[in-house]
Amino acid sequence: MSNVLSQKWLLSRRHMLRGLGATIALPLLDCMSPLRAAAIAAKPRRSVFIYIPNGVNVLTWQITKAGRDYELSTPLKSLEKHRENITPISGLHHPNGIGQAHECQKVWLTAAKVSQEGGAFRNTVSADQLMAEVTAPLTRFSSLELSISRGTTTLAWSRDGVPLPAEDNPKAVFTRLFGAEPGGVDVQRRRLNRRHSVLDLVLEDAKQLRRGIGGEDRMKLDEYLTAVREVEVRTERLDSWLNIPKPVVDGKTAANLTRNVSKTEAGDYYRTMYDLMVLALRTDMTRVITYMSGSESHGLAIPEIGIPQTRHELSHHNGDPEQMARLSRSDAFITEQFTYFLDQLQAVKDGEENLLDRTMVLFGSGMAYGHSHGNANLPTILAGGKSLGLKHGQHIDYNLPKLQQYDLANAAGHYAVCSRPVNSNARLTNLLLTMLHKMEVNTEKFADSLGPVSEVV
Amino acid sequence: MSNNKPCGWLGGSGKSLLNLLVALTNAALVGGAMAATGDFAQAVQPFLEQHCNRCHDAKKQKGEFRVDNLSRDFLQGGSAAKWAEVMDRISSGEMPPKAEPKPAAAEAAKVVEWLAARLKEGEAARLAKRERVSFHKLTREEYAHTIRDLLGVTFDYADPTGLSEDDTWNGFGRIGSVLSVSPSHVEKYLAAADTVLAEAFPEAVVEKGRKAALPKTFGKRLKGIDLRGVSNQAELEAQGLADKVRVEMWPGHDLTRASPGNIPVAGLYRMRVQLSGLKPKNGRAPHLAVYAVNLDRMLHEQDVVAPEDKPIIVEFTTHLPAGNVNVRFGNETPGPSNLPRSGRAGNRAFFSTKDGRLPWQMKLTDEAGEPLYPFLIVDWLEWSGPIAEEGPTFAQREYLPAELGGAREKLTKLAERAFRRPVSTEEVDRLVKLVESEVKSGEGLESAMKAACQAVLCAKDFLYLVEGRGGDTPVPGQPAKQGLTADKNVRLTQWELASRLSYFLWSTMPDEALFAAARGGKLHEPGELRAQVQRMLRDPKAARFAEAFPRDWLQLRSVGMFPPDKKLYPDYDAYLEKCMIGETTAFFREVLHKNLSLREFLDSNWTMLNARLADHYKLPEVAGDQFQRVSLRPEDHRGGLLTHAAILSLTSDGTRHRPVHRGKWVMESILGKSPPPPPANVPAIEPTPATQPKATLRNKLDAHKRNENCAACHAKIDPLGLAFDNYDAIGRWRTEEIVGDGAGANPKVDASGELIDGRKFTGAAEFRKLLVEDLDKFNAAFIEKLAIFALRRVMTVDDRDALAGLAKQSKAADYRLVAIVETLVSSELFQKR
Repeated sequence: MSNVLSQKWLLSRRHMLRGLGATIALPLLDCMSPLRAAAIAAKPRRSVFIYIPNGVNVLTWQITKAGRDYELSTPLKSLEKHRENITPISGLHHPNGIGQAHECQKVWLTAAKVSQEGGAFRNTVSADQLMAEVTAPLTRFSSLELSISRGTTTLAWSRDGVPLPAEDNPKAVFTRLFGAEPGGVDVQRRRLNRRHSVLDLVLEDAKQLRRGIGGEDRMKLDEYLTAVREVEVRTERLDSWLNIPKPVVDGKTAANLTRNVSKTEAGDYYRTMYDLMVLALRTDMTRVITYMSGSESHGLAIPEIGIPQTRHELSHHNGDPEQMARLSRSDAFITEQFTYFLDQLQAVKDGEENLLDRTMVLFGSGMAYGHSHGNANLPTILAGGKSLGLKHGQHIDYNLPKLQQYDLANAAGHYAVCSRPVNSNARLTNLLLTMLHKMEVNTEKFADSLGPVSEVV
Repeated sequence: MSNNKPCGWLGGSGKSLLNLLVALTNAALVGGAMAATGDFAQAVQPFLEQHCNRCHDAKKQKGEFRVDNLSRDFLQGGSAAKWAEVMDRISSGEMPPKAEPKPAAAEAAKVVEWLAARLKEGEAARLAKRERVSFHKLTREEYAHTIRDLLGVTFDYADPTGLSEDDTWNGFGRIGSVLSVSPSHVEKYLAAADTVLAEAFPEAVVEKGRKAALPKTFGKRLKGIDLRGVSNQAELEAQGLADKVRVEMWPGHDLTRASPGNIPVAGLYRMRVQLSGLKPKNGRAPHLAVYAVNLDRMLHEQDVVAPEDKPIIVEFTTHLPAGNVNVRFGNETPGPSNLPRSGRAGNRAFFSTKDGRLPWQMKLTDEAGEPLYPFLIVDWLEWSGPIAEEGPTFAQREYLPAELGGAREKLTKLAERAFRRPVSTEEVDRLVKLVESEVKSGEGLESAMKAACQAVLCAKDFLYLVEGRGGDTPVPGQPAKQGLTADKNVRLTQWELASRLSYFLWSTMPDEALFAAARGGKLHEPGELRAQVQRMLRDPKAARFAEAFPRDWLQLRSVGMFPPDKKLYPDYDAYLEKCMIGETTAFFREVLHKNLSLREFLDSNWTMLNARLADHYKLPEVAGDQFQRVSLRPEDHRGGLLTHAAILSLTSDGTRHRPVHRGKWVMESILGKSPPPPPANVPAIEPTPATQPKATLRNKLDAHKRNENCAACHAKIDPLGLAFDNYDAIGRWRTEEIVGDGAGANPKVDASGELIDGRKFTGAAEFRKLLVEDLDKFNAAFIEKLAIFALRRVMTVDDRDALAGLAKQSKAADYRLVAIVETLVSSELFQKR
């Protein structure tokens, strides 16, 4: 075990983190199997997914030139300094998403078919959760779900297709991640043992019943059983983490992240959430994060730059030039917050690398042209993860081979590009599959994927 | 579309043959065997032969897709999905392709509509098949009500520490197949149980070396001078004026010093405040709002009207968790700036509106001393609690044994109530064993009992309404039989019936009287059921039905989903939104209490208003926050649900009214029909160029409808919504539509129209009359919605006969609401899974 502890990166990381607001304790390996120990020895691979609600103003967002010497469009200008860390991609879509209105956020990471009439819609597993299955044994929290609204407004869906409730309150997240174990380790251990006995009882009771019932009726019971079992596994895992103290976050950082931040101060709110995400990643509390920075029905107004409407209202601009200009400004604002997130990740050094190099970030939307619910040519930017083997620096465009060039002056023409896929093989799932591979998820296919995106690997 | 196996509807496997038989039996139930396939030959076959088969049959399969041998079985998920694809392609005009002869739009529309209807039926049947599960999860609201009745403590389910929001289906929040459980739910249930049990079994507080039975109490009193904070406190004290300082609150002003601070233990707390509320002539009353910031919860809000020299005391109790509670105490009314330099007095002490103002400050009153803006003037406020009875809590009295030997009896009592049925010896054994092992590992008896309680609160039988046990309900004191009965149409047991009834009308567990009736074995008798319904509707808990059912049926959760643009609708605020929903809920409650006819929902000469809503509607003033019945005259332009601001705004998108969505809502909620979904490639409504005259949304839609693919369906949907064009996006009456784009004057509203059957109307009032003529359609739709709510599942073809029978009985009883509820409860439908 000591050879693992003496891994240089771990020590240097601890050293480095102390100066940056947090001390991280090293995992105690007694509780881990040798296999896990080996996995821990490998450097972390991380993924973050950030959702843009209601699409964008596609007329100003579109990057018109493919390849390495592309020019970032106006709303994306803030990303200029990250050119070597990002790959904007045009032309991707979910075949099942075409024609969806407010449901596209549910399938952004799952690619499932949603019935527009509602029905007993069952989603499928989201890409981040497949990643979390791989990273779960290595971190205290297998994944972190964040959103603009608390509850089922979430990007993450379990293997049963159940929404994994998200948190919107930085303070609540901070407390969950870094809060002290009330009463100390012994009290907690006792509490977890007790939780274990309670869960045992609950499971035993449910299993008794399961024997007697057949196929269809068992579905709900199985869903419950799976959930209880998973919590039991988590309880065991928590137990093994107990002897490993949580990282200590310095008072100033903690105070900043536990303020009551109002969503009416959009910039402050976003940056607080992003700071929290950076802290969660660099202290290795989790390696997989989804963040619905806005949902189709709740995309923040940004009073501080003179935008009183929500993104949903702006997206239904009905061609009004003023509304469209505001939508562009809102796009630029959201991108600036994203740039801030990349800045912060890059600022955390880990030897020769930085946190961004080991973290893939997908920034995009399940909607392109919001006004009439066009969802082809989805806004998509892949960032970070260079140390995981991602190659950045170019604009990948799946439309241009067929279109030859963009004519953004012809609005109706570009809206059509954003409503009907130009290249039906340009699927967002290809990109998700690429990311899954980089996270060492062993799969040849994800949903309707055709193969990884060769341009970035 | 890949590789369709050549399996016509007679050539499939044994299993699909079985399904076919089921389908035929179902078809027989709804009116004649072979109806579906027979119609197919008539409604779709000719179209396919003429337009589709040439490229999609045995000889040629363009796009690897065959339509000629596609199974006619719409109950099968696989073939249904392919038919849906066919429908989409035809409806979007994509098929047949451009080069081929074009079918007449009306002809294509007929096919699309026929397919949509079959698909809908198939969907419902498949949903129901999955849905007749035996496990209906409690919603978080039901969970909290049940906890209250079981343990006597309040659980704040919507607080950040509460439970996640539940999923909904077409507005309904309690459909068994839709409510799901993930690991994070289980973690939240565990945490919720911890919270609830900590309050139900409070740990004794050690004071002066002795254990005190009651947790320590808490009190905080803040005088005006404390709330305000003044620069010259010492001076005022010396002058004896300190106690006379009041706090004048301008519109939009918050007091941040009103928080109770650190709450010692969770429990019920009381806030009292003495204040005056000055209402300007013809203006809104000041609105007191006490909001807990960190709990994201409105603790209390109301309008306050009281003269400056005769302040009143407002008090309320609320449940608070232990720890710091941060409260915003505000006067939430729109008004001018309240910055110190123009508005409020800043650090200067305030005593009266007659104090006189600094030269640069805005006036508070006019020359006659009447207030110019809605002010609150606060004297003091205090927090106290927890409010608890002396001695042990309800849970301690009911479930805490004096010694370990008594655990079995107490746990049996708890489990029976929590599982809402008798429990078996084994079920109790497991709980007793847990208590014993906890005691062995050093826990005290109370703590050990809490572990068992936690197991009960996380058990499937508590979290789910389990239906279908049939004869397998455990017999007290005997070992459990294994498993549930597999028969789908099994009758509910007495216990299951008691729970269904109780969650239907009360959203909580059965009370002692219902349990007693179940124990006696007579609950299923029509007379007994009727008597129970009458008793239950008289109980205050029935208010939950009056709130929950309209919320589901009318999709009221969507109110405020797209909050209106602040600039276009400056009057709109959270309180107005609450009042809008309040009107609809109060209206339903009134129909229920007075046992009125369903007709009232369509058209009425009365509604329920409070001050805020009367002001919103520009109707004569109504005093106070409470909803009261108000008579309506024709010129008030109100009456029936469809003129409620809640309904008119829930279909809007924040900036404008949406006639098509309104029409769709009327179809769904009033007529019980679902229009087919729009094809995926509809072009957007083009903006009006700035030089053209302003156009109403209706004009723009008309242009849209020139597209004949759209027109066929929209002729049915749109009139139902356009009838309400005289109401804007937040439900206010108007005669002109305010339009941003285009030139010239705002155009006049045209709310006239023609129904698909040819009946014409000039506006909402006439349209409502036409709806009343169709009362039987609404009657059927209403009963179906009520049944979905009560049975927690979607109705299907299998239920049609039962529903038709109920509709007939309702008609015989002049469509009276209580009669309908009673008939439903005593029906076969209600007593079966």
